[in-house]
Amino acid sequence: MISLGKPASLREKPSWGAFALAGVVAVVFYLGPIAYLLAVALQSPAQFLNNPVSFPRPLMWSNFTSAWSQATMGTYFSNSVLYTFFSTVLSLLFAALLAFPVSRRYVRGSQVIYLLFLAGMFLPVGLVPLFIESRMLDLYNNRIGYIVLHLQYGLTFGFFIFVGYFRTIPVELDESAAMDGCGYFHYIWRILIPLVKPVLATVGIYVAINVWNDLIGPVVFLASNQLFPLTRGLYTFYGSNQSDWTLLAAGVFIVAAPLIIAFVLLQRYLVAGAVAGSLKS
Amino acid sequence: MASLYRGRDRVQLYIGMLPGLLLYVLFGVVPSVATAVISVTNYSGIPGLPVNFIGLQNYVQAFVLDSTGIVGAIRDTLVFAVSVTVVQNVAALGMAHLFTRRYPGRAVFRSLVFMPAALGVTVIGLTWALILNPSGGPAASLLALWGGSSAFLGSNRFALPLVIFVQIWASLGFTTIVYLAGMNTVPGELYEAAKIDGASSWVIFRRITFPMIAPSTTVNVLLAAVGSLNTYDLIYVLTDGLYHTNTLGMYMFNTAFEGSSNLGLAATINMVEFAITLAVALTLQKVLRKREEVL
Amino acid sequence: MKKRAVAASVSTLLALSTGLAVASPAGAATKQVINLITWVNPPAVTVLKKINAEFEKANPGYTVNYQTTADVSGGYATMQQTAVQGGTADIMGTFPFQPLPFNMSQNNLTPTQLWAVHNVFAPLNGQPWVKNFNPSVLSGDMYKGKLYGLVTGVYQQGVFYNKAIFAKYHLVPPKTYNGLIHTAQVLAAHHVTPFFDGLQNVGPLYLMFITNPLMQDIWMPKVGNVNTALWTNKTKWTDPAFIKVMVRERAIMKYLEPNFTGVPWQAMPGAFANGKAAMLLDGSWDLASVAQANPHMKMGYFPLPGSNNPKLNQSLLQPDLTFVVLNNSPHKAAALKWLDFFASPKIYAQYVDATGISPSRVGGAYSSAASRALGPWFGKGVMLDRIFPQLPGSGSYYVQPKNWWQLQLEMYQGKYTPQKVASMYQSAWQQVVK
Repeated sequence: MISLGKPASLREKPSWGAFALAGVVAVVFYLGPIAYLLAVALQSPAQFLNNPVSFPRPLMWSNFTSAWSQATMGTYFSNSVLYTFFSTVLSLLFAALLAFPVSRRYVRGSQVIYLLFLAGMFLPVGLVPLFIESRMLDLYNNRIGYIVLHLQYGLTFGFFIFVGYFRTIPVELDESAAMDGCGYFHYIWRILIPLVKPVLATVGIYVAINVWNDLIGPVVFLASNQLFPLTRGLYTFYGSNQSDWTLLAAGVFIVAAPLIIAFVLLQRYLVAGAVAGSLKS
Repeated sequence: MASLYRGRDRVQLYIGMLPGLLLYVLFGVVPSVATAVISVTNYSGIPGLPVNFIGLQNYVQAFVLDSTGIVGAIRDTLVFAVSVTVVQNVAALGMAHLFTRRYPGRAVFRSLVFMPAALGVTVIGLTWALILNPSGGPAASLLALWGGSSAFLGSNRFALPLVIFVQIWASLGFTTIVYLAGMNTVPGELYEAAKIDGASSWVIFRRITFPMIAPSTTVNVLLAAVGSLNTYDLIYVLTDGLYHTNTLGMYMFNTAFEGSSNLGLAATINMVEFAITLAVALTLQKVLRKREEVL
Repeated sequence: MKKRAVAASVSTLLALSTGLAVASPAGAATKQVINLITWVNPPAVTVLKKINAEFEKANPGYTVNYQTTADVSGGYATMQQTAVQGGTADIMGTFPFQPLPFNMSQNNLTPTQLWAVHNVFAPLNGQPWVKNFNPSVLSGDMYKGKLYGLVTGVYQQGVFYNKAIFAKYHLVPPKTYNGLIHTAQVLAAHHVTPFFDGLQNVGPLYLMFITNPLMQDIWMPKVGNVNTALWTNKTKWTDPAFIKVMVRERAIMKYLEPNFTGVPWQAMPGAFANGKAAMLLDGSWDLASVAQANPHMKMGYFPLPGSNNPKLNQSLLQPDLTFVVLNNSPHKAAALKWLDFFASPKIYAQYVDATGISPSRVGGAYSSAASRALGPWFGKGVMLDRIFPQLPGSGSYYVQPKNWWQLQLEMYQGKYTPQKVASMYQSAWQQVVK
C-alpha cells in the first residue's frame, strides 16, 4: 500500500500551525456532527425540546432500543446485507469473466466491447427506462430483481479495473495452465481471481458501499416495507418520526455505527482505491 | 494466441462473458438509448394508455412554451456544479497540504475527514438536517450568538449554499486523498533544490507541487464536475428540490416520480442533463490533458 | 476437492436464491394479501394498523400489508406513481380528484385525475356501504356517474388557539381580519409567537392554511365558486380580490414563528401543544396529535377571518383520505372486502374518533378531541374544491403545485409584488385553460 506520509526530504519538526488547522477542520466539522448525533440520540425528548445543544442527562439508552424495534431495523439490516453481498459478488464475478477475454483479446470484438463500456461512462443513466424495464422483466419490488438492477455499477467499475489488472499478468500463465489441462472456469476461479485479490478487495468495498448506501434505487424499485434496505427504511422512519428527533437520531446512529466501524477497519482499502484511481489515469 | 482456448474451453469463454454482456446491454445500453426515445413520446406510465410519437414537442414545451422550469434547473445545476467543483478542489488541495506536514494526530485527522466516504447520503443528509434544525439545533445556536437566525434548508437564500456545503463535506476526504497521493509522487530533490534557492512555501507550491500533481487535478476536477452535474440523492434527502435547489437531476426525478405523469418530459430533462454533462466532460478532459502535456 | 468446493458454493448460491424467491411476496399465493398504502398522518396510521389487525382476526386467511411514506408532497407521490405503474398496491390512499378541469388534457390533469379518467381505479358503485355515505362528500370522487373512492371524511382548516394563552392576555377569538391582526399584535407585544406553521418537508404548500380561507372570505363573495370562475375565465388571478388576498396573507405571515420555512410540518402539533405559539394554523387532522402531546391543554377553534365583514368568514372543509381500489389489482375482491369492513359502523367510528375527522358516513355518534375543540364548527363549512383549483403537476410552470406555493413565499419575502405574482399565475394559467 502506498504510504501517505510526507516526502522524506521535508521531514522536520512538528508543524503546529498545520496541526491546529487540520485539527479544527477534522474535529469541529467531521467529529462534531457525529458527536452531536450521538448526543441527541441519548437525550430525552423533553431535554431536546428545551435545550438541544447540551450534554444528555440522563442518558436515554432506551432511544436505541425503541428506534431499533419501531423502525424494524432488523429486517432492513438483513435486506441490506443480502443485497450488498449478492450484488457485489455477482457483479465482480461477471466483470472478471468478461474482462479476462477482452484484456487478452481472446475473442473477436474485444475492442468493440471495451469501447462500448467506455462509451457507457458518458451515456445518461436512464432512470425512467430502467423503471419501465424493471416492471416488464418482473424485477420490480422483489429481492432478486433489486439485486439484478444493482449489478451495473460493479460490472462497469470491475470491468475496467480487471482489464487493467489482467494485462499485468503474463500470458505465459494462461499457456502453462492450458497445457496442464486446467479448465477455463477453474483457471479463472482458482488461479486468476486469487492473483487479483489485492485489487479485488478495494473494488469490492467500493461496490459494496455503493450498493449499501443507495437511496434512489430502493425509492424507485421497491414498494414493500419488508423488502427495504436500511437506507430507505431509515428514510421512511424519518418521515414518520420527525416530531421526535431523539428517536430519529438514535435511528440514524444505528445505521451510521456499522458504517463507521467498517470504515475504520477497511480504510486502507478505500485509500488504496482513491490512490489507484488517481495514478491509473 | 486465441488458439489457447479451443473447443469446449472456447465455448466456456463465451458462456462466461454472456451474463456480463447481457446485463450491460440490458441495464446500461438499452436504458440510455431508451431515454432518447421516450423523450420524443408522450409516455405517461398509465397502464393501457397509448404511447404516441410526438416529435420534439417535449423539447419545445421545455425550452420554448414554458422555459421557466428548465432554465431554473440549469441555473441551479450550474451553480451547484461549479461551486462544488471549485471549492471542493481548492479545499482539498489545502487539506492535502496540511496532511503533508508532520504533527501528532495526523492520521486520525485524515481518517475523520475521509470518513463520509463510507456513510452514504441518508446518514449524511439526516445528520445535517438535524444540525441545521432551525429551532435549537447547533447551527441555530451558533448563529444566535451573533443575534442571527435562519431557516437554513428552508431558506430561499441559503438552501442551495448549504446543499453545496454538505456535498463538499461528503467528498472532501476522497479528493484530499487523491491529491495527497499525487503530492507523494513529487521527488523530494525538487523541494530540496527550491529550498536552497530560498523559495517561499507558496512559491514552492505554485511552481513545483501544483504542476507536478496535474494528473491528480485532472481526476479530481473531472470526478467532481461530472459527479455534481448528475447527483441529486443528497438534495433529495435535504430539500427535495425545494427552495431553489432543483438541479436537473432532481427536476427529472420529480417530474418522473413526484406529482406528474409526464415521463416523456422527464426523459427530455434527462437528455438535457446528459448533453450538458457530455459537453463539460469533453471540454474539461481536453483542457486538463493539454495542461498535463504542457507541464 | 477443489471442484467440490466450487460445486458447494454454487449450490449454496442456488439454495439462497430459491430462498429469496420464497421470501418475496410473489411466492405467497396461498394467503390473500391486501396491499394498502397511505401517506403519514400519525393518528390515522395508528388506527388503520389497529383496524387491519381486527380485519385479519375477523377474516382468517387474509393479511393486510400496510405501507406509508414520509408525506404527501414528495415520497408518497413517488409511492403512488410506482404503485399504479407497477401494480404493487390494491388499495391506495388518495385525495378526491374533483374538481376536474373543464377541458381536460394530459397537461392540465393531476396524476390522480389522470388515473381516475383512464380507468386505473375500479368503480365502486353498488358496493354495500355506498348507500350509508353522504352522497355530496362522495361526489368528490365521482366521474361520469362512476364512484371511484371511499371518501373517509372532511377536516377543518383554520386557526386552533391555546385557551390559556388567550385568557392570560384577555383575548377572544377574533371575528374580523382586523381583529385577527390586533390579536397577533397583542401577543407579539408580549413576546408570544402568535401563529405557528411549518413548511419544511412539505414546502410552502402549508401556507394554504392562510391563503385558502382568505380566498374564500374575499374572493368567493365576489365571483361565487372561485374554481369554476377561474376555469371559465369569469375571473382571473389578476383580480383585485386575489391581490387583496395576497396582501393580507403577507400581513398575517409576519406573525408566524421565526424561520417557519425551516420548521418541519411534523413538529407543528408538538410545538403548539408545548405552548411555543398561541395559535396553530393547521387542519383538524393534527388535533389528535396535539391532544396526545399535551392531554391537559385546552384548545379552541375559529375560522381564519379573512374579511372585515364577519358574515363572510366561514369555516373551510377539506375532504381527506380517500380509498381507491386499483383496477389491475390481483386481489380486487379482497380489497373490496376490506373497504366494506372499514365502512362498517363500529370500525368506521374508531377511525373517526381517533383521527378527529368529520364523518362522511350518515348517522352515528362520535366523540374525538377534534370534535370537542371544534365545537359547533365540527364538520361545518365550505368545501375546499369550491375555492382552490387542482393544480396540474406538469405543464405550465407557475401553476404546478410546488411552484405556485413557492411564489407565495417569494412574494412574502419581497422578491415579487402581489401584482407581479398574480400576472405570473395568470399567464401560466392561460396555457392550462386553453
